[in-house]
Amino acid sequence: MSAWPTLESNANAVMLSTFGVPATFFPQDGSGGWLDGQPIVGIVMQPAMAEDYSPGFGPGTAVLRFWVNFETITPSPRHGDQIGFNGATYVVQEVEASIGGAAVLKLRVE
Amino acid sequence: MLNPAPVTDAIVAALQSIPELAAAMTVLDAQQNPVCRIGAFHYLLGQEHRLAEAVYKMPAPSMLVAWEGTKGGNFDGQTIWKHRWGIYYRMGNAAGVAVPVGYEDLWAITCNCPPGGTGPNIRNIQLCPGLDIMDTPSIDHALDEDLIDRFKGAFIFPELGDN
Repeated sequence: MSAWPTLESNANAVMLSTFGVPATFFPQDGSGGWLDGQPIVGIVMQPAMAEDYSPGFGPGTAVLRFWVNFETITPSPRHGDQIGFNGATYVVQEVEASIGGAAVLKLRVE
Repeated sequence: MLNPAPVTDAIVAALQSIPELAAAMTVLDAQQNPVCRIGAFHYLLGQEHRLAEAVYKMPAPSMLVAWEGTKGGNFDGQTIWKHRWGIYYRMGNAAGVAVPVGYEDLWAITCNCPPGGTGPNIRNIQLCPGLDIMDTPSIDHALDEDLIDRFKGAFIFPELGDN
């Protein structure tokens, strides 16, 4: 049992190195401003409703589910943060963190 | 009976002309030009998404106006049609905004602030010839496909006679 968290962290890292795509994370600074953007890697997941264009807005997907290795990102993403991906800026609408250290960020284009 | 399509556009124009609402729904596009994201949905297969997808794809902030049906009946001596429009709201990101505009504010602005900045509010103006002022509007909470809050208002307009 004690090795399980390590195994899951390793699995998350392998998932990202295999399927991950780059994005830029813009966290809030806690006082109404923004911290500098930082590169992150995530995996684009199947959204709640399939859209008829490729990612990016105008044409593009307006809603993204972005799987990230949550425990490795500082500060932790929270709703209201922004993520730049494929030329579009998305707002983190919801964070679904799992006990395994990963999280699904539900993003909507701004 | 009136064609609902031009009325949809008239509602959009009226909403866009409410200064407080336009300000809340205006963003800068990629060329840094202001764009007011209050739009109309028309059922034009091949040109438009289906309504469910159009609502799903709404960016934040934005509003979408769609005709959602007409009820026929003998409502009173001069009314046999009541047309209904859905007003879909998606508020902007409040993070880092000094004075955020939430769903409560958006609905209050919609109902109370006059188009053009002066005169009667949208509840008390005749939007199109042949159309009476709207019945008292309503709004309800909804959840989107990601279980995120959104709101949908309803405007019901009685038609004057049978045009």
